[in-house]
Amino acid sequence: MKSRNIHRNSVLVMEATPTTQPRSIERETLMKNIQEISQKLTLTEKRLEVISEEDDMIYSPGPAKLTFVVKARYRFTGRMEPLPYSLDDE
Amino acid sequence: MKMKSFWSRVNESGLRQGDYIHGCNLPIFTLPSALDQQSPDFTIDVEMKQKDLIILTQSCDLENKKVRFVTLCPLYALPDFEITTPGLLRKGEWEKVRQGRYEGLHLLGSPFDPEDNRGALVVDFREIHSLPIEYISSYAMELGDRWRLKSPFLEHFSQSFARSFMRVGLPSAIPKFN
Repeated sequence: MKSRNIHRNSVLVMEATPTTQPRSIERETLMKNIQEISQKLTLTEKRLEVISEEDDMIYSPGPAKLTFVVKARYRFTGRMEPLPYSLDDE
Repeated sequence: MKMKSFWSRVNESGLRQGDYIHGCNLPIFTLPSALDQQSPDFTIDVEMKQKDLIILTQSCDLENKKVRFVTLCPLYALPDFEITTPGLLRKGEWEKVRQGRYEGLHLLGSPFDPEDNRGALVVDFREIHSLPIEYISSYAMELGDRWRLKSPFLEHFSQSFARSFMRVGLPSAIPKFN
């Protein structure tokens, strides 16, 4: 029976490698690639765990590219008229 | 059977979707294209226009302070809207608006008498304004009592805006089946 290194809440499971199998260059390359993929996925998984632990996401507005002050002179010009609507047969 | 009222009367600083902000001053900027921070003495003229507006931002976003600006659309009494679009005076045109056949327009029942269809209000989704939440909130408090759209008229209104905003125009259509 194969033994497994099972991490709690982990989607990634590494199976123990039988040592009696013959070694070959292809097998070595394959094992190296699996190792690399496994490391990358573990990192992603850890990041996802951190995100899901934050109960309430806080949306912070992005900073303005540039802020400067301009003097303004306000004039009250009454009520604003509605925008004309183009009806079916007009 | 008596018609249900569309509106309830509220007096609180908290804003909600469907709040009727009566007579709000709206700054209309005409900015010169070459405006830059190097000329501190430069003064721009800002026209302040008054409008009746209704809040479109979701209530939960307002309540949880997830927004800095409030989205609003203007709403008008029918006679005021007829001034700029006199075609609506023709028989049957307001009925088309009521049935939702004119994109971007939505009718809300009169706050005073829902049975009086001439007292209804028309919301224009073609004009969307965004104003700082503190500005609208403090102005709403100055107003005293204000109208707030009730459920399910609120959801119907919100859905109507979504439909108008997400519509897609196709370059060609399947020919009509006659």
